[in-house]
Amino acid sequence: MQGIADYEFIRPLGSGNHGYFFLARRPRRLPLDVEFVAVKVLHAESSDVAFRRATRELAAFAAVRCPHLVTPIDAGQQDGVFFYSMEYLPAGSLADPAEPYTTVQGLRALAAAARAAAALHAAGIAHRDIKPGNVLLHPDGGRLSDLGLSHVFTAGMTVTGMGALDAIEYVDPALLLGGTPGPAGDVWSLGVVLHRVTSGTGVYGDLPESDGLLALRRVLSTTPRVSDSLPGPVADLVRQCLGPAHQRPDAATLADRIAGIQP
Amino acid sequence: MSMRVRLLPGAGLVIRTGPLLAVCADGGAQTDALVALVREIAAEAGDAAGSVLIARLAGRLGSDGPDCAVAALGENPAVLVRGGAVAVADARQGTVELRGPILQFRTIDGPLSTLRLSLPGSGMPDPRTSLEAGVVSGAGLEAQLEQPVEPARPEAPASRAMVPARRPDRAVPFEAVILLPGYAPDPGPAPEPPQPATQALVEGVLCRDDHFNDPDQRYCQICGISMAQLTQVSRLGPRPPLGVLLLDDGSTLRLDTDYVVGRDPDVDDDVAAQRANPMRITGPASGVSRRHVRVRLEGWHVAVVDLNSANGTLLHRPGAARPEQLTPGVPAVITPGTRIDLGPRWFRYESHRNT
Repeated sequence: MQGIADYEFIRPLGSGNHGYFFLARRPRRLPLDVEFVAVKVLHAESSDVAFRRATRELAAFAAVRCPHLVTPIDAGQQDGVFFYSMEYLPAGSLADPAEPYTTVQGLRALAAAARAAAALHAAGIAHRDIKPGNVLLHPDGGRLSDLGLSHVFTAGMTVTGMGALDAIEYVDPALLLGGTPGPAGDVWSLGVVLHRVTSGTGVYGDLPESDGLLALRRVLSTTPRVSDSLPGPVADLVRQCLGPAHQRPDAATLADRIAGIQP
Repeated sequence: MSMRVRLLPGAGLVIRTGPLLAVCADGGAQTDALVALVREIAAEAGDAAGSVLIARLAGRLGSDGPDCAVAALGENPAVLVRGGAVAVADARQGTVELRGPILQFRTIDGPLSTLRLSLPGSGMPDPRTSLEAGVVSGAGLEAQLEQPVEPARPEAPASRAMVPARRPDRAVPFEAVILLPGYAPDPGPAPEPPQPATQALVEGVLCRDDHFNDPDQRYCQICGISMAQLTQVSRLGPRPPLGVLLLDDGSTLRLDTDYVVGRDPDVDDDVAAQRANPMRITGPASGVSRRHVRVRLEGWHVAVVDLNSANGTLLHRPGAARPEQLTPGVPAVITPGTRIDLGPRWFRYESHRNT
């Protein structure tokens, strides 16, 4: 793909649950002083109704002032394809870092992402798609990127076709079974990312990489297991995030406790 | 742009017919059936995209049978593997590798520069060979575009997602909304909650851990605990989702409400009234009606009803020898694992319930 609207793409940055990321040069139309931006192009067919809903959700996201949230820049559609752009962070994400990161750096980025989630929750917004690919590394700690939007384009959709299927491992199984997305679901996701950052493994063992249905069955039929390699306090924190929804810590408390971890 | 095909020595059969390339392990009658199926799909290919041909093949191949790998060339190339066979394709997005053991298929952002289909134990490609068409012995093939495309940019991370986003026509005017502080529009009232319009109540029983269940089930459908010793007092409660619908492109939709499936399900009155969710079939959909079939939740059961579609609906029930044609307007209760065919496209009902 060469570009969309007035964005000229330089190279792909990877794919998410429901679209592709590209590095693009900033069009002159945009009033900000950066050379590059990240553009996400969604799989789902856009319609005027979906476009209005998606821009409204993104505008609500953009209105949340938090230094740890990625800045959304622009949202649009061309020829039935929906896209949005946001600030580009060259250090990459926990899933696809530009350079290997230490556990300390990973924890700092995750603590920042948890603070960003807390700011979203305070504004009444659930992120719905917290996973390593959306926790970005930054010299001052990290940023939480993106917003799960698949439900905007197709009611009832939890997993879109052919995307990166690893995301399913981070989704609260209650959501896969039909629960309402909310802050507690985001805290579950943060807990699983914490497990991944500190132990290097997921809570369901190795999931089949290329088969969404098999991965889904595994997630629904397996009780998440916290690795024995985690230090006691970290293991307790992960367990609390995976506990009954009403007993989970809120995102702000979780951020403080992640920041207090001494690996 | 033609592909030159070289053979990999070893046991098995290599097939080239029309846009299809295939390798299949020796497996007696099942191998013969696969060769016939590949020939049939190639003969009826018309100008269908590779991804459509592979979807048609996948719809008719089971998970069991001899190892095989198939590729369909053309506009949207695609590959399929089963068992120990491996498919490796180089295309714009980099290298794509697909392995079994279960039946898998993927669309590739083409055109392909090289393609390798191989069975376990295959040798190195024999540079002296070239297969134009037909069926020959061999354990694999390597196909190369005569005029190679520009290689993938090395700095691009290998992408696992295979279906490219549709390329917009950049001549079409675009609309955009700036989201930066000071420019952003007022987000307006909070978006409506993404709840099914009506949450149906059903009669059910609670297991020891308070999971709400179909009274006819002997084990809890969430935790698997036996419900035998419990005093079965049924009560009304909100119906939990009865599973998921899995579309042939890999999308998963939660079954917590009815769905109208078709090319343009929004024309359905119940979709407009939010009594049913739309499940839109995008991409190749010839033979799929605008409103084709409805998935209906009836108590704890899932049923499908053909909505007078032009080309009809087929049910493949798990374990059944032959598909079953739906009578328009007559609901049929389905169990998990049932595949529902709408022309060339299909979806499945999957659940840990109703088994």
